[in-house]
Amino acid sequence: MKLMIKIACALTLLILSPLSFAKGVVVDDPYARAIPPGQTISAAFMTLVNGSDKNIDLVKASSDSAKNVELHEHIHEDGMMKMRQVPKISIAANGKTELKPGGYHIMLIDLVKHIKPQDIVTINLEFSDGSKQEIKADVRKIMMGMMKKKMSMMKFKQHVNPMPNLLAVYKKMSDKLDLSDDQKSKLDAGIKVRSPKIKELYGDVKSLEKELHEITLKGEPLNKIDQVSDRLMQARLAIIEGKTDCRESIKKVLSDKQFQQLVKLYRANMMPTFNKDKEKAAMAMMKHTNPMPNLMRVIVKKGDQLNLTEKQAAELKKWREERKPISKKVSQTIAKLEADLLEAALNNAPIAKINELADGITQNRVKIIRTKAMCRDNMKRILDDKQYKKVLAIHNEKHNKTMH
Amino acid sequence: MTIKKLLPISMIVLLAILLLWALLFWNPADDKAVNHQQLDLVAAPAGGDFTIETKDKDLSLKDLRGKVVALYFGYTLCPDICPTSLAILTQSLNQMSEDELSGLQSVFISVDPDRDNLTRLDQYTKYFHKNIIGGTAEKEVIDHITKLYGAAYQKVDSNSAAGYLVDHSSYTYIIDKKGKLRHALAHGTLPDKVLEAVRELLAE
Repeated sequence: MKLMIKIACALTLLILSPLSFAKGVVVDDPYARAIPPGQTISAAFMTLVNGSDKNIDLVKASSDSAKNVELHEHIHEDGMMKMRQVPKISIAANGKTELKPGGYHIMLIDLVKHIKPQDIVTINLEFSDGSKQEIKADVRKIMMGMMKKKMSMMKFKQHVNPMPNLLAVYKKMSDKLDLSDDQKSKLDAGIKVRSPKIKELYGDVKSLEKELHEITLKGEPLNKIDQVSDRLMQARLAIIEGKTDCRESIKKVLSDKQFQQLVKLYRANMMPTFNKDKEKAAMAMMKHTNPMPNLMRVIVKKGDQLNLTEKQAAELKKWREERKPISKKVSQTIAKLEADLLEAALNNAPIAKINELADGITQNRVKIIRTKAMCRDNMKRILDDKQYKKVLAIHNEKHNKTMH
Repeated sequence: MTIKKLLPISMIVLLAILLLWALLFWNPADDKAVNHQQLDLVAAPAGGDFTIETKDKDLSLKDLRGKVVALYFGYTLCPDICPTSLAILTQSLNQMSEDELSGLQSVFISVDPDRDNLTRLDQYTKYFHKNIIGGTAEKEVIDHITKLYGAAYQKVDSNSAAGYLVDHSSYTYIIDKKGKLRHALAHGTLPDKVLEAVRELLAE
């Protein structure tokens, strides 16, 4: 019987696969770069998604808008930016290849007319499987969207990792480090091994913080919140540990002088930035240190919608006034400890010192989560059922709005 | 077999291995070439004064004392890297007040004087931001300036319809009010960072 099922499954797959996956290449979000007046070249970017189970190459591109269209790749090597024409751009089976600034792109050479934002450039693509596609790329002033994405990614990394990202210095400025090929290949190998693990941990922090937020709103008991908080702290500690480990291996590969240069470059180019406006910086820090829903904010901003009795309002106010300076202080302590941690890592402080600071950060982060969970329970006690539900509804509405 | 016989054999084997290694892997000329190329690029960027031609008149770094200067080397037929760097610079310029902007001069030096004329350069840089002046000079002068700043470029012949390409380093150099090179910001440095570096020097 089992065998029969297996055969049936295999047959179904066999029949279905060409149908469901024989899509060839799908082109996503094509756009061309807007250019200064007088400029006669531009570049087009897009994502090529290969839905088939065979490798497919983009082998040719042409356009009515430009006399010559070429496939180019961009290599960042020894600090030099190099552009090279390539005969093809490969898209792996069931994979995707991104054509983006600083990477692969389709060069539009000798444009027949000036292109400006909102214009459409038609490009014909030819693939190695013999298929052809006509795509319409809209002309965009580059950067704005791209930079925003990069900035939010950077902020996220800053949020989950308080340690310096020393390998990023190597990736961006290897030419300033005077490394031997052997050193480079050792660092590259290190990146290859570490990068996926760290990324996974970043993902863990993100999803655990989300879970913490959700179960708090759902009304799960304190011990459940503690469990998730515990797992979150473990993931955060593992990131610090991984980054410490990373520093140690870099130190093994580089000479002392090279390592000092690496740190110097990091300080000059990559130190995290904070908002100059003190008020805004404090707000950002609260958000950074507190993954829990901020229900008190609903009371402050929309209290009028809750029909609070005087007694309730007074009780909430008292609680808020007592607690606010405390959580602010804890948040500042975390900020201070994280800044110390960064300095310790850069100043080559011993691992024991880093661990000590990391423990301090963890304790304070746990404190914030605990306090916020208790705040929720206290609010539940003060408000009646209907009012509390209203608080949740207002919170969710606002939260969902800011999320999208 | 006695020890006396084993010794010469092991010596021969050892020598053979050494010889093979030398043949296969020892390539002193190669090492040198690689180091030389890197040296060119990392030659301690001291910065220093320079004069270039622009559409209106010659521009000397000396004349810009009292202003912070953001300097970039590129060329207008550069399809990707230069516009990206200039767009980042523009984004930081857009965040500055008029007052701050009056204390800053951004300069784009073309390393492709054969194809970039001064009108073209002016048009090109103004497209990004009015604070950016475009200019160039004869090759010898450009070579001298790029050396001062530890920038590198190299013409590369290609079959591309775009003609020859220019490999180049992509740093944004921030020079203080006294004309001293203070920062070499790597390619892709975010606008906030550029802004921070400029503001720090404006405040001095």
